[in-house]
Amino acid sequence: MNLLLSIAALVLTLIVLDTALRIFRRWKKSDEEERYELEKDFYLTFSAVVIVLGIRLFLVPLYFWTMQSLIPAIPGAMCLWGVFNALPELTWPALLLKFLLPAMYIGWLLLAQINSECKTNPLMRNLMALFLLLSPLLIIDSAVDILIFFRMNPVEVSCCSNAIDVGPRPIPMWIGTVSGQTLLILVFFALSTIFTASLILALRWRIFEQISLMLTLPLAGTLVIAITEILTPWLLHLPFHHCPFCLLFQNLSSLIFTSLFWFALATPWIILITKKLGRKTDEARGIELRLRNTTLTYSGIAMIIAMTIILVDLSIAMT
Amino acid sequence: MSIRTANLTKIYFKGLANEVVAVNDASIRIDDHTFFIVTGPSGSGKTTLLSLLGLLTRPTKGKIFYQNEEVSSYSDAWQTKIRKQQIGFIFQQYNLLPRFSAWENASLPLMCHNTSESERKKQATEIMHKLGLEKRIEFRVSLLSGGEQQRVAIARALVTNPKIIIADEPTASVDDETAASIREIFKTLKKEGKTIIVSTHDHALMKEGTTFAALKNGTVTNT
Amino acid sequence: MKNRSRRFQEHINFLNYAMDSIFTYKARSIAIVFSLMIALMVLGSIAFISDGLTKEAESSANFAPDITIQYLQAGRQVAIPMEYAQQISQISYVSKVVPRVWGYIYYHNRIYTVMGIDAVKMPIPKDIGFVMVSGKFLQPNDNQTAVVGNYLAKVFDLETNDILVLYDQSQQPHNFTVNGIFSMDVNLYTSDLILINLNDSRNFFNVSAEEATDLCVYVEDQTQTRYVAQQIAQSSPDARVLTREALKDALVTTYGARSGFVSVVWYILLLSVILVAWNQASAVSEEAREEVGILKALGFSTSNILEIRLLEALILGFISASSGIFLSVLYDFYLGAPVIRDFMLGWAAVYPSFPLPILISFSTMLTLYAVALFPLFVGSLIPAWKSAITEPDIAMRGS
Repeated sequence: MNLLLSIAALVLTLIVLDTALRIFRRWKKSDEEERYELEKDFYLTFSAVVIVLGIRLFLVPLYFWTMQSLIPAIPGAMCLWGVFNALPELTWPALLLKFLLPAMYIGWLLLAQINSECKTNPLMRNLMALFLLLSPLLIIDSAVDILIFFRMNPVEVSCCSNAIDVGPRPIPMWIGTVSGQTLLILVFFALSTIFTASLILALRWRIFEQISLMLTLPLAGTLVIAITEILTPWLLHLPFHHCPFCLLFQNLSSLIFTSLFWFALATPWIILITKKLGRKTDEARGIELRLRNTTLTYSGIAMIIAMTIILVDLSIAMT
Repeated sequence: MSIRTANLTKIYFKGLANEVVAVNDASIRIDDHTFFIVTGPSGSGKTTLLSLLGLLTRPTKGKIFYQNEEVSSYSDAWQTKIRKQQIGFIFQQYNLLPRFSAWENASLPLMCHNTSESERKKQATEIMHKLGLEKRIEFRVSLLSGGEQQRVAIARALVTNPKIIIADEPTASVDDETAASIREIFKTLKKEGKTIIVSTHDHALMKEGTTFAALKNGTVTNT
Repeated sequence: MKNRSRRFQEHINFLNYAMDSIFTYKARSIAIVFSLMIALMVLGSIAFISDGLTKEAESSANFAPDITIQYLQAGRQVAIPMEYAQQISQISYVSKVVPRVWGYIYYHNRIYTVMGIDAVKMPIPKDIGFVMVSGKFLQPNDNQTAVVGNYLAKVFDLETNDILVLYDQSQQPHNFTVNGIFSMDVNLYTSDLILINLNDSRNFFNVSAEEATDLCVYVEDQTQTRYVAQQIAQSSPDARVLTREALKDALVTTYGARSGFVSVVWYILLLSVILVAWNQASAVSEEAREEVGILKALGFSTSNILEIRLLEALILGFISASSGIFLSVLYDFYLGAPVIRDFMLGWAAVYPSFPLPILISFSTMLTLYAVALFPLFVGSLIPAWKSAITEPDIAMRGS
């Protein structure tokens, strides 16, 4: 099914690519009648993108589930780590795209929403330009998914323990000490709190929008380290095990807080897209600000919920 | 709701050998609460002008203003919104949907007004009562006479309580008796203060008009 | 709250409109539903059997010992010398090594497994639902007794104390008294497996006391299974060392591969379904086109019309998927899945008749619905769009 849906997404993208290009090139030069015809074509593009987004979002958990089901077929694989390392040149980029693309599509959809609420489609050209930029990524994503399933072979791989738990590890040893763990937890929660605060304060002061944007990458990095060094060992009750995939597939709450964190970290980038491309007219600006505020609010709530889940899980695990 | 046009032009098959200028450089003004009559021989562009005024088609050139806001450059979605909220249409050929009953046809515009089925039936039935169709509410439209069908079409145009009524030859396809009853309906609508735009050859209906425009070969010759 | 429920009302109205359209354009709807229903029935049948067989395979692997040791000569399995048992039992963490002598017999046109075990030393795994439904299990001092699965007993009308006559390779009859009848979670074993004592088995298969078919190794600490397997592989390079996990993976992969192959056929079916959907959705009559024009004149937006058309696809997909799944359940459960069954089990071996294991899981159902809906959406998108962009002007001037 993974294959089928990837092909469907690929085919749909290719079908509407020509239309998107035509709208982009003709919109500025055309009169009212021609714009009306282009607008009709836009409905197809918009519907296709919505379906593609639906497919891509559905494919994110499905991709993991499908790869999980390949574990028995890959000798030595005990979790997703092993399956990914059976074809690392494709699976790891595919994973990166699975996290990147949905955020960019949400940005596109928000922009489309702003455009539809405006009276004269002021963002049409920007929308098409963004879609034309995104489409190679989508094509690559679908192509990579398809290639993975045709090229995946039952090669012998090492267990995640051999790869992640056994030295030399890129993480300094002292992180595993009591002081190291304490410091890491404090840094993680401090960063998360500052990030959450900046999301909420950005509703009032623009400077915090930039602060939250600057914090996304450091927080993402800290999150990954926190998952491997603190959350996995504690929540799985395996002091020397650091595989994040083992955590995600054995602990449901980790899936929830990871998803919430993903949404919150994606938000500053999403609103960067809408800010840069969505403020073409005063009318669009007003709508963009409203949607931005709504997104920031939900994002702040997501962070609070995610941090609460982590706190509760850790408290239970540590007691 | 006042409507104004500036140099409105509609050309079909533009640039081709069979190019037709249906409306040419029309600048007209329709004030609020007026009964605006459009006259002219067949093929003079009356229907096209009504389509343009009702935002059913886009002008090739020129602008259309609703309450001094230029709506001709609005997106398709926004023009549809205006049609949904402000305009009721009465077509020459009734354009009822044969698979629905009389009340279902009359209540069709309410489907995109977030109205439940029971509420839609209630509103449609009320209007159909006022139009003398109380005994035909559940009938399939194929079982109705021409006059009854046109009255169902009128009910459909009025069910959303629009500010503007656009009617294309409303009495052309009916008998004299029905035409008379339709004229009475338009008189009532005029009293209610609706802005009415009608294209017609019916002299009796023309008498109700407060403002007129005559079309010849797509050009407004007299207002 | 009131505003939100009112906004929802619009979509309910469109849903009703879509359903009405489906009933109005019956021929088109039936064509789409019928073709998708057949495709879903085939896929559903395969999926349910595959899931059932995979689960059965996983359960059957639980019957296996922690590690199974087989002896290879020129790449083929031959009887393993008993001295290997002695060697292996010296390895750390090994709790016991138990020999088995087993093989296949051809009986009443089917292949059955006759397995000779040490009734004292061989542990019966706890999580496979093994229970004696009548009689008793093999006793160490009994001769020429057998314990059979309940499905096998039913097929051959056997009861406790009946005589089961089996023929060895030289067609000599051996009489076994049915000591007991067992049931367990794995259908294949209850319809295929005949358990006898180890000595009886050596006699039946003509295997000397210095050899066994394979050795069952049991480990003290399950976390050390891999380590023990590695040690055995290093010390006995001519042995095939199979852990229970490896056996499970192999079985799961085999049945998964089989279902994957048959699913390719389904992809071809699905492509034809999409083409049917496209063709039917595109064949929009003039009447339907005028209807859309009228709706747009009355205030329906292009998005509304698109929503109605895609809702039609959604409803048709849902009906097709539900009917297809229902038919596949009938096909699998009540008809025993003829044709597909043989392929899924493998034509090379002549299996005894046994109830086909079928598993209907939530994830498979979700997959089937998704597989019905998404392609139909994609196939219906362009025809829906073409319908939705009909000019409202058409209502004024006619088509």
